[in-house]
Amino acid sequence: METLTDLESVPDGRLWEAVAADDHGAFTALFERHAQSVWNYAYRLTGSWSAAEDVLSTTFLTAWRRRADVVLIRESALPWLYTVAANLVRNDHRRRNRFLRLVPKLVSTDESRDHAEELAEQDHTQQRLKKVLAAVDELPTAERQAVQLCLVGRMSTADAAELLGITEVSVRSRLSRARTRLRGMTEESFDE
Amino acid sequence: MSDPFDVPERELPDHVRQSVLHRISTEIAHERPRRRLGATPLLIAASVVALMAGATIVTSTLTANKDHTTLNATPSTAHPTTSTSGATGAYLWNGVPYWGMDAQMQRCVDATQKPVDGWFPLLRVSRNGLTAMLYRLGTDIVFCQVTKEHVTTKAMPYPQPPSGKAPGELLFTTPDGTYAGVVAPNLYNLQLRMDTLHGDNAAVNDSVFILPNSFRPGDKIDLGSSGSDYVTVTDMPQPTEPTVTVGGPKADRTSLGGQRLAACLPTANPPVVDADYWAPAAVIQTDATHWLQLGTLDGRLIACNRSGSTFTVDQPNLDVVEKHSVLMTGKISADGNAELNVLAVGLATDPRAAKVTLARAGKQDASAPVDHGTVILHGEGTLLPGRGQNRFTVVDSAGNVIEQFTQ
Repeated sequence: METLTDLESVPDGRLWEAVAADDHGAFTALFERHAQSVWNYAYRLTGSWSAAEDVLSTTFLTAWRRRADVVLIRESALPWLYTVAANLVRNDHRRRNRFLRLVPKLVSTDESRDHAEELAEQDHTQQRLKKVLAAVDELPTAERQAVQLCLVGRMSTADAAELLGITEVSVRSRLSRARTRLRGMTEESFDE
Repeated sequence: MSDPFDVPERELPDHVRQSVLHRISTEIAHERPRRRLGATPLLIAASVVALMAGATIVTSTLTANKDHTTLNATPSTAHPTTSTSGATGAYLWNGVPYWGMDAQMQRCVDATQKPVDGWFPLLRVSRNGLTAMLYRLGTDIVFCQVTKEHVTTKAMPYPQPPSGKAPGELLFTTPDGTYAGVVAPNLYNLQLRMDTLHGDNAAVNDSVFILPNSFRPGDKIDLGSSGSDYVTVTDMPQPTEPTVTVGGPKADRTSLGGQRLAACLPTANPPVVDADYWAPAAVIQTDATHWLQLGTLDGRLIACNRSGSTFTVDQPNLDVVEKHSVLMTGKISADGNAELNVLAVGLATDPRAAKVTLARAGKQDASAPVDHGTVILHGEGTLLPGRGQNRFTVVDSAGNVIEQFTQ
């Protein structure tokens, strides 16, 4: 047994091994390390900060529940967490709500959305994002996965290829087809 | 037109972080202890298509379990432990249940002047340079809070578990905004609400709770747990003042930087721990009432922001960003001071560090000198949202690169 005192400097792979051994401290360290990225990614997947919070909760709860089944062989846990988040979003709110007990959000005395979110929803950027996300949802599965990882998650095509188990050329090809379809559906441009 | 997915990255607000941790911990607390049947782990590898409960999983499998490494924040040797079975809220606020003797515990023992035998640690939490602990000692419950400069202890007879509607009983508070007490048996989450806008989750273990360095104690506080209504504490304990003061030298408050910190730090809520001991460091300003002043104490960083008559105090959590040998960077909010164009603040951990430059594609480089071990990078735009798109270069006084990293 090895005892390390500085969890913050431990690579994800070793943290995950400790999580698999029920180490709550390691799980918290993993959460602290990636929660912000997952939360922002979830927003880009849903166009809602409130939904992003749900997705963040459920993504890490999924990670905890699957701790014994999963061995991380990559340097970072983030791609896997992104994949979990994307699947949660794909499976919609109903699954999330079943998956999460009805645990209330912290000291939420007002069930209505906060003022900031109300304002944000009026924002053109958010409306635009939601429109594009609706189009992404219509894409064939293979293209949608590539878009979620590379365009939404900013993952490199090489990393996405490794995660999806296909060649990098295939990822690029899927992205290219997806961009063409998305342009047709939304009249938006997508960075190459 | 820009890429529709090019949405600026937001910093995770503390209330969202706390809320999510609370929800996860509550879920975990409701789970049955995991049965260890030697299940073969799945390999997350090239063939993974999707991974989540109920989703399609295509994987390779390993033929054997790997040896697990146990990572402990502190050694745990002094006491036998009760199994927590994964069903506690102990890990909030870096919580550690049932730890062993260490330097902090020794400070508690010394401050109470009670014999070391018989101290049974129940829960330890830490936040912003403050560590709070609860012990069982004979028939007493002992609260102890240590900071760099102070030790605060108080003991009282161990109370009966709370009954009735209240999920917990508040026994101890400190001027630093720490709260501790007992909760009903088998309760693993507790929220403390100072008012409708201010509240936090407490760490819970073995029927005790601690919330460290939260909002300043006021006239009233409510306790609640998931699925129950809030109950107002009717018998608020008086904040316990420090028992021992180390007596180290207080920081400069005569210089302009010192005066800025003196004006700013007392306004913070949650209170700044050891507020008199933070030394002034880097500053940027537009005029006498619009500035950002950094302070340091014991390897930590604080940012005081003044916009007119409004002060905001930010303690960037450098623990959750990647640590580098020379520079740790964090983002802060400079409310009302948009014209300062603050991109990031940093703490140099290497005394050779003299200047830091931030490079971003499509933006002008932002450079700033290291001032008393800290740096404020400011310039056009914001940090770029994607990982690896912000390159920091640290040089010494001769211009030699001593560290370079991306975030």
